[in-house]
Amino acid sequence: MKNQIFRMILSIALLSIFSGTALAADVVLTPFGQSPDAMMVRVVLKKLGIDGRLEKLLQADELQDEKVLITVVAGSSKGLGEAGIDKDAEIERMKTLAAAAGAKGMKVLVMHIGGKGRRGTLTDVFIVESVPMADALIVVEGGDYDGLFTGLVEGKELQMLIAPSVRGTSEPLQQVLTEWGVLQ
Amino acid sequence: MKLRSCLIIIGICWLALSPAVHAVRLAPTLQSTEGMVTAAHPLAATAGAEILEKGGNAVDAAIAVSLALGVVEPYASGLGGEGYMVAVMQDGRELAIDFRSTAPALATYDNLEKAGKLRDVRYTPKGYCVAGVPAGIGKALELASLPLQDLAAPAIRLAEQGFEINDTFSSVNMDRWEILFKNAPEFLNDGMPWTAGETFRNPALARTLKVMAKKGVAAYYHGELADNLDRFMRENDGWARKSDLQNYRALAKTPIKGTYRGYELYVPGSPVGGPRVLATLNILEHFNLAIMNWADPLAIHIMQEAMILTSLDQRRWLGDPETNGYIPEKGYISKDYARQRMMQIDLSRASDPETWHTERVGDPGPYENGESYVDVMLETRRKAVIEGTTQDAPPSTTHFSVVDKAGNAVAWTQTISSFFGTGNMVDGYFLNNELGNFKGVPVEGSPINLEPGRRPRTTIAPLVVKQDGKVRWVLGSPGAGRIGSTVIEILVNLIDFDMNLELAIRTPKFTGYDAYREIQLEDDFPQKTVDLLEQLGHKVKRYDHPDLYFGGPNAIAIKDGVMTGVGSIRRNGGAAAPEKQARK
Repeated sequence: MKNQIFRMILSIALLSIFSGTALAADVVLTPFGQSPDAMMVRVVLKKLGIDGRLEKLLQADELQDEKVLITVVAGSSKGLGEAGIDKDAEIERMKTLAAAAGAKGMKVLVMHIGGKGRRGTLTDVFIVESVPMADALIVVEGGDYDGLFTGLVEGKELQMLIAPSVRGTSEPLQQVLTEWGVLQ
Repeated sequence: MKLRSCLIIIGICWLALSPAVHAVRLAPTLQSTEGMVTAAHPLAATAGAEILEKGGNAVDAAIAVSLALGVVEPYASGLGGEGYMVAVMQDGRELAIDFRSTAPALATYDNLEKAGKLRDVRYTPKGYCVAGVPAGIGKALELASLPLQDLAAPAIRLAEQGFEINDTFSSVNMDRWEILFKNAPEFLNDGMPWTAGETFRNPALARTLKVMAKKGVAAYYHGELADNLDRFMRENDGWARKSDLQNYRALAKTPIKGTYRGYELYVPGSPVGGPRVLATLNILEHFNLAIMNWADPLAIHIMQEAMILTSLDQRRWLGDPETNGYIPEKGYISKDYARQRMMQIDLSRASDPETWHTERVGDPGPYENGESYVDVMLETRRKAVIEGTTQDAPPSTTHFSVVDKAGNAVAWTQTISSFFGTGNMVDGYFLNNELGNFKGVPVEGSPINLEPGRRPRTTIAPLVVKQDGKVRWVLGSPGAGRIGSTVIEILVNLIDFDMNLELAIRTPKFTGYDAYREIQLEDDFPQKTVDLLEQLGHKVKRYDHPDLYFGGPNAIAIKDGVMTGVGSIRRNGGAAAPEKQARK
């Protein structure tokens, strides 16, 4: 019986080492602006073998021992309404969350995956607030059509990776998460 | 010599067989004397212009656009949807085709109670009402000159060869990704939403269109397509059955006529939004809007209050005339009733939303037989009360306009209700979720109580406007609860504020609808206008300008034989015309 348990533990350990996957606890996701886009990123992460925890209204005290906080930025009036918060409260939540993540030594990855179609007054407010929080940035093509992101990262030591599509975010995600030790 | 002859023959064959898509001109705004098509997607507009180029009439082109839109905007309309069209022909024929969907026989309140609430079935096969688009096309074919096979060809080509995803497609797909991931993962791009620039193909829809092109629209209601839908519904706990499809009929009607400052308007009747456009304009006719302008807070206040009054009456009194015994539509659109209603508008302050559904609902019934407002108002006043909650329809739907060289005009609006409807896909098309437009619980006397065979009420309002007996404008818009206000504001912009069509569409829009307790408006109104509206007591909510939320009108103006087409600026629309003499 002991042998069986030992073999099982060893198998799991070997599987996680050699499959290059991360533990579920390594990544936590939250939307910035309450659009459903973070759920898509979660699916992309799953394909990379990462079962990231997604919390729509993640608070600072709910951070666990994750290595990376991913926030997917896009404003949704409907989403904010359903969450029962307004734009200012959402910004305050993210500022507090990013500060707490930084204090815990976590990396913050900001993603905008909706291209040009997911830009607008509300989203742009969140984008402007999000970039200073980021340790890295992934933007789907078209999202920076007017150079908003480029302007915000100018002069900063901030990595901005461009993906061709939502599906195509897997490559830069893999790159960033490998650099940050989440993926091997 | 032989080789040269062969090359010449090959060259001739290539020219003859090359896609006619090269024979049309396309731009956001376009002028032509040869015919014009405007639609929410440039490729759909091109499909229509291609048919005009081939010698088809406006109805031929409209059928081609309807089918093409189902391919390039599968989220907004398609074979699984419904709609209404108005045609004004040069030979004097005026026709409205009601191809609204109907509730299936199993869609009863008893069954709904077992399934949960109306909102619980909205994104399930139970949300589907029997589609009318194929039957509407079948009815329209009676005015057409080309066979369905020719008219379906552009749509089949687009579905087979694919097309580049635009920003609207991408954005809508992202918004609805969660539902699609659950209900139609096969539609997605390896589980992810389609992104602008990617190529989308729909071979399943191409097959379906080919079946219809070969066997006629009856294939949808009686043939293999009906069998497929029936099977899907049985396997997925839906309510529609083949028998519902077999019982469906598109209805040929006469458009309702109204007037506004000397212009003649041709609109569809109940259960859609045509009567409300007329009723609102009847009220506005009593105000000298021409001395104001689009940004004048008083003009906005008057229009807002008028639109609230007409939406309250519409909600209380109008519905499917085929299944309701009493629909006082004539009274609702009478000029005398408008006189009584305009007295309800207080120019110095906004009406209180708390009183809308109780004190401000009118009663058009006494005006059904042309009574004067003096006589009616001297009689006992009756008040109606609206019970139940208001519905906020989704921002989907699509509208297109067509005019051919002969001057035949078609205004056509079609929809699957929510973007992507229920989110379920059968044979390459999405199922509408029109069931959500019925009352969730029965309310005594409501014209939109759920009833098998009944058509739900919606806001669509395709229309044709004539001046001095000639077609002047063809227009309509998607946008759910914003359709009425957007169409009315465009007409006021054109007629009262003397704008050209492009400016009339581009100018910021605002809502006037009882489902919204505030004025929702696109930014770019002057701050002073907003300040005064707030001072009058209106709660203001701002949106970007332009914003798809306010609809995507595709319209055509005709003056002195020149047709100006304007594609929707809020939805990447386009105008297309036969190549001859088209100019940007």
